[in-house]
Amino acid sequence: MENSQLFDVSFNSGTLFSFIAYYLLLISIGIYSARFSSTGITEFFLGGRQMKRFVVALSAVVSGRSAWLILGVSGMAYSRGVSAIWAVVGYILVELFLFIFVAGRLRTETEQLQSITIPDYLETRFNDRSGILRIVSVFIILIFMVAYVAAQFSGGGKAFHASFDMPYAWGIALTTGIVLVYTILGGFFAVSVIDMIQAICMILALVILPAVAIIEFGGFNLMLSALNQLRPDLLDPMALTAGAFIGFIGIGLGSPGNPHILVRYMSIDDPAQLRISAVIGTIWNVVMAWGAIYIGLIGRALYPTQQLLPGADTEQLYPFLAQNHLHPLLFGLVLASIFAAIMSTADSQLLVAASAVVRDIYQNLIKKNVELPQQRLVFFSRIAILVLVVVALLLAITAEKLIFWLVLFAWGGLGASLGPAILLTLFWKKTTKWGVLAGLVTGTLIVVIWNQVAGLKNIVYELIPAFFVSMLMVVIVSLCTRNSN
Amino acid sequence: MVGLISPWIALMGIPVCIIFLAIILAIFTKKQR
Repeated sequence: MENSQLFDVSFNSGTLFSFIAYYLLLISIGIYSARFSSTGITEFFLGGRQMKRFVVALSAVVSGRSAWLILGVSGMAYSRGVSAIWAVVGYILVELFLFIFVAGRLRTETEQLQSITIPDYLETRFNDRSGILRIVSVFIILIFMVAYVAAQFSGGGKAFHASFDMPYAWGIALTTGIVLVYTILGGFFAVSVIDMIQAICMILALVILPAVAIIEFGGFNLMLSALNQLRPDLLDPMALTAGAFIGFIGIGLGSPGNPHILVRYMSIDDPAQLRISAVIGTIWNVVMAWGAIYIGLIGRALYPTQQLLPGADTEQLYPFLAQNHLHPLLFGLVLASIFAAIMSTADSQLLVAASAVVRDIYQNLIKKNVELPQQRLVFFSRIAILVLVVVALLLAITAEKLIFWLVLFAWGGLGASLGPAILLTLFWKKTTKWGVLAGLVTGTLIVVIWNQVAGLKNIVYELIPAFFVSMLMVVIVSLCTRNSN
Repeated sequence: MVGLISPWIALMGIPVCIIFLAIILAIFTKKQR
């Protein structure tokens, strides 16, 4: 791995200690939650719909943010300057909209229909006895989720390798092992509580690091002046093409279709509390995003040319800056925040994939009309997690190219297929099963095709045309088939 | 300094406005059922 020298850290025992203590805490939460999660499948996959507003707020936003936010956005702000803000504005506004207008309705309807997964909801909502909606949505979810989980594990392996000079395979094994232990034991409850802790860890790192670096540099105004002298367009928020602007804003269209975000809304104990969750989640989203952007900007002021960064890689700015500006204990926190971003996404996606296998395929397709004991379903869920982890691990090690090819359009594919279908199912009474089916298929296909055709990809991010065409298809086909509903 | 107004809005104004919007929506939207 060319990144091995990146943040070749001279560790002191404090950094290592804070790191180990953090992981022991995560595993302890998994053990603590095991008894509650073993009660039944709703407890295991949805926390028994008893999650509190603070946990739901933070776990919903953090599971949607992978290392892309802290490494990718800070790197983007380093290269393109202030105009990188548009990459975060879209999803923050969409997730605010989801919390305020969508989450409560989804929570209430899924409880009334006794649905614990998104395919569950689509099937019961349209009384689809053929099972076609469930099969198609499970297929889409499983492919993208397993690829997603494998990519997170691979990212964890690389981060361990770069931080601790640990062999890549060991890094993957360690990331996987920690996630596996607390997810398999504690299910949704543990994952949500741990996501909340990860969210707090991430926000601390993303507030402390830019604050310290900017103060050491001489202040905010001095940073802006330095950037202005370096390249004035770094300070221009509109220094981007119309296609890039729309593409950045459109990233947010992925949120309504990513099931690992949606299930968080379904898990809250009292839907009336979602308005408070909206404020908490939005504050977190905003502080995290602008923290990453400030890191990029101060990084550029401190290291004006990319060659000054390790490996000349802008995505290494975050740990590099932390290594040079923070106390070893706080540097440990920064490193932990990278793993927090990776793990908080991987655990949520893993749980969604396992619920698709056990709830959707086993319980509702294979053993349809058979009453199964809850304990057995929980046991199978744990086995499913183990099997999915092994599959993701094998894919991460042996088929890395395939994984990253799939992940390239996982966010967009899920967003464009499930997003319009779910929004219209919730808000438009004329939506039919065939309309939803058409939307699922169209959304996925357009994302893949648009991404693969170079000419189209250069115009705008594939999620945007795919989302709106998928939405149009749901409407058109629903109107054509309304009598068969 | 004129050129610095717009980055100030992007770096300070927009995040504050989004948080303010969240608070306004939370207060004035109907309770979700």
